[in-house]
Order: sequence, then structure tokens, then C-alpha cells
Amino acid sequence: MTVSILAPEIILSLAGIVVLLLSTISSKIKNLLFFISTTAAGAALYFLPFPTRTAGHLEISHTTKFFSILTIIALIITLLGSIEYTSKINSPPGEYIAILLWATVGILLFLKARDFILLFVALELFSICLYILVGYNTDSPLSIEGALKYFLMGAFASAFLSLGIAFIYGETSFTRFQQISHALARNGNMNAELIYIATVLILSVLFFKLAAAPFHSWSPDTYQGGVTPFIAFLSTAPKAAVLLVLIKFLPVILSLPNVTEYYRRIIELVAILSIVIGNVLAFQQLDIKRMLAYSGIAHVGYMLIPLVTLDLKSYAAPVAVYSLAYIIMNSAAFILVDYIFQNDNKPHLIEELAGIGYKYPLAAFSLTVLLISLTGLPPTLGFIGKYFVFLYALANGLLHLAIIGIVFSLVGAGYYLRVIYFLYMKQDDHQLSQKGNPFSLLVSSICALFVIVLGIYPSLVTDWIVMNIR
Amino acid sequence: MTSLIAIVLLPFLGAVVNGILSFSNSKRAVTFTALATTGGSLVIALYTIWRYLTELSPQPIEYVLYKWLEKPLEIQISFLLDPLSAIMLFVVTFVGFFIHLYSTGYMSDDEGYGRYFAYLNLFMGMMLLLILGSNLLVTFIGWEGVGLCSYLLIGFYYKQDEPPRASMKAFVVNRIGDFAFLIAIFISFAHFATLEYREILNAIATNQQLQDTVYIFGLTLPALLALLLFIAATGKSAQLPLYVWLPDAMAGPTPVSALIHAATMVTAGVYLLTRTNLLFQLSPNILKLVTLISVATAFMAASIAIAQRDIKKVLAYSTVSQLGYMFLAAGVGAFVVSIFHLFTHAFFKALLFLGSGSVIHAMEGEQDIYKMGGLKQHLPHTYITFLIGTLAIAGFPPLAGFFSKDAILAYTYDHSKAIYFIGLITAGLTSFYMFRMFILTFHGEFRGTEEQRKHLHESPPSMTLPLWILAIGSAFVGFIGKIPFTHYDLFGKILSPVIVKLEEKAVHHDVLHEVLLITLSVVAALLGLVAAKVLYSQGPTGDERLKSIITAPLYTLLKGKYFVDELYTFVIVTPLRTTANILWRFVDQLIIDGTLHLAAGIVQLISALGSFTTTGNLRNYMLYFVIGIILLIAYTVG
Repeated sequence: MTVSILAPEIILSLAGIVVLLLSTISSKIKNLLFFISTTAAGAALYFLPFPTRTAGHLEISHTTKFFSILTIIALIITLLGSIEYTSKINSPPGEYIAILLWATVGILLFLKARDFILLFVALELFSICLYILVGYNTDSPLSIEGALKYFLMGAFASAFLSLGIAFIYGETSFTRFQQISHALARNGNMNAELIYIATVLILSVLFFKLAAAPFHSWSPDTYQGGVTPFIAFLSTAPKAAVLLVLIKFLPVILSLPNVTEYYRRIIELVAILSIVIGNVLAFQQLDIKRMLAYSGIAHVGYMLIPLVTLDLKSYAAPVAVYSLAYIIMNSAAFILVDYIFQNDNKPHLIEELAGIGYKYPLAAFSLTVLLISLTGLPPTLGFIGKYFVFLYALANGLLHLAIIGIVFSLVGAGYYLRVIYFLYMKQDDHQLSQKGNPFSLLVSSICALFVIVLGIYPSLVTDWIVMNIR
Repeated sequence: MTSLIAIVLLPFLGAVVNGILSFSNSKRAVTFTALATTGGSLVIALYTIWRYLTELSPQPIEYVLYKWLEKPLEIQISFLLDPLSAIMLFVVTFVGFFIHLYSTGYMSDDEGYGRYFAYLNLFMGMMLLLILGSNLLVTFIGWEGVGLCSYLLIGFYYKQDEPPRASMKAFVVNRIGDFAFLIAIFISFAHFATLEYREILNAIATNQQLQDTVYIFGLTLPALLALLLFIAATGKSAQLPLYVWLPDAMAGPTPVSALIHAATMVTAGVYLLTRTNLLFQLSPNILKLVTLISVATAFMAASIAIAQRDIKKVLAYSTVSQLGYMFLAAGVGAFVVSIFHLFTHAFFKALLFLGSGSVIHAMEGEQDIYKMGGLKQHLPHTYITFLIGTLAIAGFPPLAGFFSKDAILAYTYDHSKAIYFIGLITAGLTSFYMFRMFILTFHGEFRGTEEQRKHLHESPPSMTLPLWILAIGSAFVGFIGKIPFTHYDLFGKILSPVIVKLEEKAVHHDVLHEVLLITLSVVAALLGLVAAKVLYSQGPTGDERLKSIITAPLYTLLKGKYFVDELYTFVIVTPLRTTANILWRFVDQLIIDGTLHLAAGIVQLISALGSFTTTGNLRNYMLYFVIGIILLIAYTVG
């Protein structure tokens, strides 16, 4: 094992340190800091390790590589979307960038982890960074409230995670996935019930990080109060990473005999609850960030559908396609919300979007494209994601999940399209502030373009995903 | 065959760039983009066609760009190059480019210059998709796309009253045909699990049972598909009973009428029939229907044209009539001749429209031929080229129209003498209305206002060059078809692989017959010419004499276009409006909206109830978390 396997993590960590040091020199070099960090993200993308069959603590496969790319894409979108924001708040930009980079490091390690110790450390590494960044806008009580709730809930969840890990270690005396898997399959004198409860504890914490129902309660408050461009990151990258860990974790616990059906039912229940609760509660929201938070819960539900099959060989591909769509459209949507509203200290009411279609044509058009994609209408990437998931569900006899998913997509159309209605059909009677940073607009328009191009020509990526993601 | 992609994508690129440029005022950049993209497309197309047709035995080439969706709903975006699409490709890119060139002159003073070229480039791209698609779906995308562009361009002058109304009419009438096309797609997919032409036609050709078994309404599956595709064609190609939109479509800019409503889009139906000719050859009843509809359309449109005053309306009815000829050829089984007439017609009809555009340009927008006259001296280039176009459409040898029309009539003669005579009379009428218009426009005294007389001028070279190119084409392209008295038939030889030969039934007339048929055609054309000359040498008063000859009621009927529009309004539009109103008030507002609002209300109610759980209170959230874990364990174990 060579150091080059960890090249992206090293690059990003160093970049974080450099940015932090530079920011102490002068407060006027904000753009330089963003330039350095974005370049570092690009370099990390370039130096992603070539997939090998490394065993041990770290796994480097096509799948981890794909999710690492998604994470770094979310990082780049967030960085470019945060430039304007950091100059408006009291707290210095250097720390914001450095912590964001380190959060990414944590997520990248988390993706690679094949060992509970590393998994836990990586999880804490990125979680702590995320707690800080949610509350980075210290001018806003909402931001601090969101951060505190997220932190306390997160600490609470971590306790359950360590408890679950401890139970498993106690029974098997291993922390590595592979060894645990072997031990479970051999099934010596272990207490199977205890192990089952331990796995449910760990799954619950993963669901919590995914903001899947019924562990979702933190997400609306956190998203609503949190630093908007950062929510672009929070709502996407960690979720995709946790999904991958779930994909890797399921084969381990499935080695436990006689409980396969239990896990299927757990995931099924969580998927259904997430889709129903997310879509129904999103319908009611007046604040677009809260609406996106609830709809994010629903999206997680869709992404969990393929996992219900427990078909280890094939369930990753549809999840990967949906994750790609979700990362691009959701992060860009939050960046645009920030671009349009400009003011993070008060609620982002949907009705304030009235007439924006004529004021900021490009921003409104991009947002429209992204919302159509989030709804899941063709010809967008969002449609392709849902198509893959539902097709996979139907092919594996999950008709009821497909029906629930499609019916509640219609509810989704109700609240997403309402935003478009406000953008174009309502008269403008509010005065929103001046234009935002061109980088925010640029990066989100590019995302919107991607969403359409990949919607028309999905095989550009889906062929690769279907071939390589296991 | 990556060149096919470049051919299709260049115009789309032009559309995007021009769409962006239309927000600026840079006419030069627009002109450059429009001409560079369509010109590039033309050059690549010419090269591709040349390479393809000079192969020893050209095989159809399929190029799969990508798969949009995988099985079971497999849809691929793929292109097909075979002799048929090669010929269509030539027509579309060649005529298309020169009409773009012409438009740079014609539209130069229009404020919507960028918008115009964005639409026109988009049209080119869509038309190329239509003809190059290797399956029904890609063709359908193009089919709808050209329909959209046609709608946008007919309504180009959206500030006036007439164009938006006309564009709406064109769109709605076309939708009726498109509906049939869609059903054909669904049925094909349901039965063959594919939309590829090759696979569908193979499946039908090799399955005798499919050809013989009655599928529905006494039709076999091939017959049903043929019928649906023909209905689709009657919409796009303006045949009875759906032709009514085309004359109104003249509200758009004249180059648009030339490109979309004469040379390319309206011939898409003919292309579709030829592409799927196996279906039609397997269903004689449908072919009989095609024959009857087409000959009725040809005759009816030609008779309407003799009483119209608007120069573009005359040409529009003439287009409907000529399209009727093309379908007539298909109806009697002569698909090669049908495409041949499409080919020659593209040249002379585009020429005539562009010539009329040149006239309208000189007359400051005047379209009434009663107010023209004597333009011969002022517009020498337009005059000569228009004369060539008129002679060509009237069917005088050796111009292009003569060869194709004569071939159609010859095939029809073998098929049915009665229909042949209607076709012959239509040919005479064609000659008559064309020369009536020609004489009223270019000969005699100038009848316009003094102001218009001062303004009269020949059009700029960007407009006269396309006229001359198309005039040369109209004069000579006929020679690549079947030459009478010989066995030389280049066009037929090129196209022969595309046409399925179920039975050998080539026309073998003896020389005497052939001489007779040609003589009759030429005499019909000459009679039309002489009649027009005699009646109209003194200007528009000729109409009075025409009226006295054919009796007043008949003349009124023709002038009123058989009152088909009024009939449709009375029989279809008004009852439909009334029904729609009732449906809107009761079914839509009361029942559907009511149900929807109820459903939305229920969701909202549940949602509001659910919001109570969102207390914002951290203690509750932690409790939910623990309850969640217990729930999961209890749900599975308990």
C-alpha cells in the first residue's frame, strides 16, 4: 500500500492548512483562497487512486471512486457558490474553506473505510466539520439554532453508533468488515440477537445521517437555518457517502444467518416512510429551503428502493445513477436559492420568488430546469434517475414500491411546480436585493445544462455506471 | 458515418447560436452563423451523398448515435442512409441553403432577423432528423419539430392579427395527423417491440400470417399501419380533408413558404409513404384510398387556384395540387415516380415562391396580382426565372416538371383511365392558373399605386442568385429521371433498392402509346397557356370573362374555395367549441378540478397534521430517534 492511495485526502488537507495560514495574512485575498481550494479540489479529482483490489482498512474500487468523484463535484459546486456569501458574514472566509475541505477529507476516508474504527473516526471527522459550518453565519440565530440541533442530535446518534460497534466487537472481536463477515457466517457461540440489535443501531445511525424517516427530524430545522451555499454540500455529499457505506455494510451483516428478511423489511419500511413523509410534508412548506429539506428526505427514500432487493451484485448501479442526479440538481438548487435571495438572515419564502423569472432570467431558467429534474420529468437527469430506480424495482418484483414511488412523485410535482409557477406566473411585488456573484450563477447554470444534456444523452454516464458499479 | 451527425448537428448549432445572437443586434453575426452552418451541412451532405451513391452497390447504412433508453423500452437515436434518404438529404440541404441565402436579402430589414434565422436553422435540423431517422421515433421527433418550426414561422409576424391565427390553425390541423402517427408508433411497438423501420418491415415481409390475418376493423396489421401513416401524411402534406391549413400558412414570410410549405416539410408525408412502401403494397385497399384522395385533392386545389387573387394563395393551392400528384403516383404503386416528382417540384416550386417573394419585395408587400402587372421591365431576373418555373410546373418539355408529371400520368393511365383523365385535366388547369398569374403579374400595364411604381426595383444578388440556381435546376433536373422512348432511368435505378417489388409490373408502352400520352400532356399544357393568354391579355377583366364561361355560381364556388373552411367551422369547430365549453364548465371545473382540489386538500390536511410533529423541540427529536430504533426492531422481530 502506497501513500498515493491517499493522495486526494492529503492534497485537500494540505490545501486546508495553506488556506487557513494565508487567511491570517490578509483579509483581502478571499478570491485567492477560493482559487487555491478549487484548484486543490481539481487536483484531488485528478489524483483519485486507480481502482485496485486493496484489502485491509481501505477499499478502492470503481464504486468508491465514483462516489468520491460525486463528493468532490459537490465540493466544487459549493466552493464556487460560497464566494459571495463569505464576504457578507462576520466570520472569516479562510476557516470556512478550510473546514469545508477537511469535511471532504472525512467523507473521502469514510467512503474508503472497510473497518469500523476508521469508519467511526472518518464519520466524526466530517460530522464535526459539518456542525461548525451549519452555524457559520453567527449573525443569524436561525443558523446557530440549526447548528446546535444538528450537533446535539449528531452526538446522540454517534453514541448509538459506537454502542453498535462495541456490541459487534464484543461478540466477534473484530472491527474489519471482512473478518466480521467471516465470523458471522461461521456463527460460533455468538449472541445472534445482540448482534442483530447492534446492526439495527448502526443502520439507524446511517439512516439518521441520510435524513431518512423516521430519523429525519433534524434536517428541516438544520437546512432552514444553515448557511445556504453550505447546505448545497450538506444535503448531497454526506448522503451519497452514507448510501455507499450502506451498500458496503449490507453484505457484511447479511452474513448473519436467518435475518435477511428482517433487513429487507427495515429498508423497505424506511424507504416507504421517507417517500411518504418527505413528499407529504414538503407540500406544506412556505420556506423553499425547508421544502427542499423535506423533498430531500423523499429522494433518500427513492435511493433506498433498490437496496430493498438485497441483491448485492446489482443494486448499486441504480443508486449510483440516482445519486449522480441528486447531487447535481440538489446542490445547484441550493446555490441558486442563495443567489436569488441574497439574504440569509430571514426565511426564504417561496412567495418572494414572484416574478423572478423576468428579473433574473438565467437564474430562474436554471432553477426551473433543476426543479423539473427534481420532479423527475423528462428530458432531465432526474427522470433518468427515477427511471433506473423504478425499472430496477419492477424487474425485481417490487411493484408496490414502484407504485408508491410514482404516486408520491405526483405529490412532488405539486410542490416543485408551484415554485415555477411563482417564478413566472406571479407578478413581481417584492424588491429583492442586487445581483449575486457571477460564479454562483455560472456553476448552477452549468449544472442545469448538465442535467439536460445527460437527460437527453444518459448513456454518456449510465453505460459506465452499469458496467462498473457493483 | 459520423458525417451524418455533423450534417444534422450543424443546423441545430446554428439555431442555438442565432437564438443567443437574436438578443443582440448583430445582423452580420447572424448571417454568418446561418449561412456557415447550413452551408457546412450542404457541403458535407454533398460529399456524403457522392461517396455513397458512387459505391458499386450502396447498402443501407445505419448509424446508432446512442441508446436513449435500454430494453425493454429500447429507444435508440440512430440515422439511416440509403438511396431514399440520400435524395431527401440532397433536396433539404441544397434547397435549404439557397433559401437561407435568399432570406438574408429578403429579411434584411426585419427587426426579428436573429429570431427568424434561429427558427429557420432549427427547422433545417428537425427536417434532417425526420428524413435521416432510422426508426419511427426519430422521424416523429423531426416530424413534430418541423411542425413546431412551421408554427413559429407562420406566426412570425406575431403582432399582426392573421399570422398567429393561421399558425394556430396549422398546428391544430397537423395534430390530427400526428395523432394517427403516434398510434402507429404504439401499435408498432406493441407488436414488434421495436421502432426500427428495417426490423418492422422485415418482420412483416417474412410473416405471411401477419399479412393475411384480419387485425381490426377488417384491416390487416400492415393495412392498419398504412392507413394510420397515410392519415398522418394527409396532415403534414396537406391532402384532403386536412389541407386547409396550408393556404393560410402563407401568412408567414415568403422564403418560409418556399422552404417549409413547398419544398421540404409538406413533402414529408410522401417521404413517409415511400419509406414504408411495403405496408402500402401489401394493402391494395389503402392504396386505392390514397389514389382517390390524392386525385381529388389535386383537382380540387387546382380548380380553386384559378380564381384566387393573392399571388401566394395561388402558389399554395398549386402546392396542394402538386402534392396530390405525388400521392397519386404512390397510390398507383409508382413510388419512385412519386419521389421523382417531389424532387423536381422542390426546385420549381421553391423557385416560384422565391420569385413571388422577389415580386412582393419590389411591391412593398403587395400580394394582390390585380394590383401588379408590367413588372417584366423592372424585374428582369425575376421575370425570366419565374417564366422558367412556370413552364416547368405547367409541364412543358424539356423542363423538369414535364418528366415527372408525364411519368405520373403514364402510370395512372395503366391503372385507371378515369383517374388519368382527371389528372390530365388537372394538368391543363395547372398550366392555366399559372399563366393567368404570370401574365397578370408580369405583362400588361402596371396597376399599382404611384408610390409603388417609384419603389420598383430588382432584388439584390443574394436573392437573384438563388433564383437562378433553382431556375437552372428546374430546367435540367428532369433529365435524371426516366427519359421517354428510352430505357434510361437514373433516378429509378438509384431508388430501386428502397422500393419493395412484390410483383413485376413495369410500364411497357409501345411507342405509339407513349407518343399519344406525351402529346396529350403537352396539348393540355398548351391549352392552359393559350386560354390564359386569350383571357388575361387585357388584365384582370379576364376574370369576368372566365366567370361568364364557367357560369357565375361555379365561379363563386371556386373563389370561395368550395367553402370548405366555412363547412369545417360549421360542422366541426362550432360544435367542438360548444362541447368544449360544456366539458370545461362541468367536467373540468366541477369534476376533475374538484377531485384534484380534494386530493390536494387531503394531502395538505395530512401535511398540516404531520407538521405538529415538527415541534422544533430537541427533546422530541431525540425521542423520535429512539422510538424509530424501537420501531424498526419491533417491526421486524415482533
